[in-house]
Amino acid sequence: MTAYALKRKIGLSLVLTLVLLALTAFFFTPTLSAAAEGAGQGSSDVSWVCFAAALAFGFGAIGAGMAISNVGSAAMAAISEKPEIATNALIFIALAEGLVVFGFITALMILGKV
Amino acid sequence: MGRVSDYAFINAKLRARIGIMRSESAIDEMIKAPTLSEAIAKLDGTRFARLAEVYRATGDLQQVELALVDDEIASYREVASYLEERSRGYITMLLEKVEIDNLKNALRIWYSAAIRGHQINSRAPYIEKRLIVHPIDYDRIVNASSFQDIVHALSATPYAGIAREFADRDLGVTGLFPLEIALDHLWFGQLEAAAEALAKEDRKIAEAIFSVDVDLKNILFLIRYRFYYSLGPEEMKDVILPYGTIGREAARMGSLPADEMMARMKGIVSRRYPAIMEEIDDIRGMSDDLTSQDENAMQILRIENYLAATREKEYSRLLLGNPFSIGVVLAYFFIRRQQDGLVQAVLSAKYYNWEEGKIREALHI
Repeated sequence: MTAYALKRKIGLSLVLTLVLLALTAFFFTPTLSAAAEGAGQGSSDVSWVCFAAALAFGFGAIGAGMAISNVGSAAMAAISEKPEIATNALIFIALAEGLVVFGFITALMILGKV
Repeated sequence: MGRVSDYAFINAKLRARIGIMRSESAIDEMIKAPTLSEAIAKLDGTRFARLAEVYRATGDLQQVELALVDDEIASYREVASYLEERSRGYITMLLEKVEIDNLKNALRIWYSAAIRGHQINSRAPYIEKRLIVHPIDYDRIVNASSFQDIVHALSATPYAGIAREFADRDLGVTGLFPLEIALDHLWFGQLEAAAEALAKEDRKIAEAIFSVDVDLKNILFLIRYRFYYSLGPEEMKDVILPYGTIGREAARMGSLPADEMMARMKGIVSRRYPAIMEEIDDIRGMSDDLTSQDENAMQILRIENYLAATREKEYSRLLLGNPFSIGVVLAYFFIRRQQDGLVQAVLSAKYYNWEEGKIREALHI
């Protein structure tokens, strides 16, 4: 893959992630907001909490995506030349993948406060 | 981010290849093999497997060498295809050196036939005739009835200017040497320009290694042509490449008498590369007190091996630097060329039935 194609893919991933974030916020915020209002809290506070959770998960996902695009392509390149290093290479991909898991856990913890 | 994404894929691929190349013991086993056929068989299962196939199909060692050149061209193209535009331009310039070497071979065959009147049928098929970088009609060059034909064959290439410049010269008197040196000068100049176009960090790496390459080439020119072919100081002025530490100093000293310039250049080599100078002094390479031609040839070989070892150290350092830079790519091509050269040398030695010890002594391995 040329650097140009890689950059296009990263750009596309970023745009898709942002769209997903916006859609998530659009669909889930009213539900949570209604639940919070039932519990006697202001809808504006809940929106901020949801937004924080979305940011935590979203940036984690974006970061992981960017890391995996580089680590993954390097790993695939190395594995194609030397298949015996596949296990080692996959460990590095998993490390990059960890970023999104941290983001997800953080988002759950934030949402748990609502 | 940009540099990482530019180099992550290709450098991981090349590092894996370098690891495989370094761990392979095919060359060692080839040296130990008692016959050429057995040496060729050791190439099976390695990246040189295609050479073994070509040898089995043709039984012709020169076809094997041609296949090696084909593979080298393919490797430059493959790596260039994974790089961003500026780095691709630099790698294409490295490929141009393969084209220039091929062009020199074609010119030598033409010279042999047209000027010296030798039979060329046996040599002409061993020229790479496919497109390397620029469209060149190699058949037209090899079979040229006059130098004007060669000028036409090179008209759509960067070598056209040099060809036109030499059209009026009597190559029967001067030989091809000045033309070949002019092509080398052109290539080094273009390579330097291509390095300037690289991204900042890549440029630093490329310029540093370029400077060492040119210096070592100039030292080799000084030794080979001044002391082995006995070129006069005035002629040496035209041979020295005007790049790198030594070449730039030489260009600055252009107005000095040639003898004084040579003496000063020896001083520059001593300061910049003291270890090389010690080696040269040790074997009297820089002294005018030379003995037989054979002894000279052995001295040149020793110095060439020493310079090659110095280059190897410089390129090995690239692998320790930034993994997301052009350094890994340059180191890969260096190691690859080095191995190709060794395989070629061992096969030739086996063809002439050289003993294992003699091969190791000549190749310093």
